[in-house]
Amino acid sequence: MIFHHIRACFGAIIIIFLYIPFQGFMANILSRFRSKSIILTDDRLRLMAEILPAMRVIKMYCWEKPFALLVNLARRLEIVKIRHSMIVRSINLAIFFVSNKVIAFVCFVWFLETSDQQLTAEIVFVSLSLIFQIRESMTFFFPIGVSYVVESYISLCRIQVKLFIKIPSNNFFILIRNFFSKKRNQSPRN
Amino acid sequence: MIMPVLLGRFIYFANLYREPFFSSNNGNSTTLMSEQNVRSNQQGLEWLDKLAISSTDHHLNALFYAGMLSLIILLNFIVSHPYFMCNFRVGMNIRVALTKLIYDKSLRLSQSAIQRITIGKIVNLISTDASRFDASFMANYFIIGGPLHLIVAISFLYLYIGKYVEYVYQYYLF
Repeated sequence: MIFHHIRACFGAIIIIFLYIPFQGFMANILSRFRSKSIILTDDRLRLMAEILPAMRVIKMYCWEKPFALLVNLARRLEIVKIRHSMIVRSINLAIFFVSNKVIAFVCFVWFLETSDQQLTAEIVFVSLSLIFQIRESMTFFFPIGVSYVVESYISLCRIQVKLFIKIPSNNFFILIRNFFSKKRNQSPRN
Repeated sequence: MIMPVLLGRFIYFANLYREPFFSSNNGNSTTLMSEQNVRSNQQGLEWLDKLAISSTDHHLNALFYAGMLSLIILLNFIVSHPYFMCNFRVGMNIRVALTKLIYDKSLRLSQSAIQRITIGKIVNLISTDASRFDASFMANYFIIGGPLHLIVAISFLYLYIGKYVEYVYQYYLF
């Protein structure tokens, strides 16, 4: 009976607000899968970069099959991680295709239960198109934006770690000079 | 967000215009589309009636709102496609700038860093990490704009289906 105190449009709000923490959870899972799969991609590319110059030696000693198995293993490990992230993405997409109907169903059933007014064509069409716009921005572009921001943040972190962070030298005098130099906040020049 | 409201106004005035035909055909006032039913759904929406161009001619009002709806949809397409193209351009510029940064840095690497970083890693940085940016700027607006859309749409939904009447509550209570 508590539902009779609440207006019908709060069905949409409840579903959408259940959806936002779920999106955060999904983006967390997605970033974890992506950081794992990027490590495997690095390994595979390193392996290929080592195999290709040494191709003559491999051909000479007939090591093709073991190395092909090695490359296969690296590719398969990477594809497992990519498949996991794709499963998470397909769950997002499935929720996007279903959400329009679910929100409209909850809103109209709630409206028919709590109001004595008739469900006229005006109410139905306006609510459906409003719900469509909510769906377009909240369940399609919002998760895409969140996932892209997370992924680009990971990419920027990788670029920064790989290229622009100076590994501390073992030389004591260089450490002291770097610590007291005025330019230590700038990007290090190797 | 103005499009559903214009659509609703169009249906409202079209219903009011079609009302005399239905009541004259059936001969009774208890049809589904009686004027009282049409008007009783408009509680809280009276301020929208002030925007209509005519107070008596419902046909003219319906035509006016249909024309406004078509114009706004056309305007939506005219505005949104250059917007997405500009976003893609900004993303591509950032990607090119990032690629140039990686290229410059890879030319200035020290001997110890060259042993640490292989060519494959740099190619991977350019091919996978920098290419994240060209598509991401399309959807970045919606992190802020999506909740704003939600607020506006929910406020209009509240006007349309957010009403309930007292006696329904009493009926369920006893």
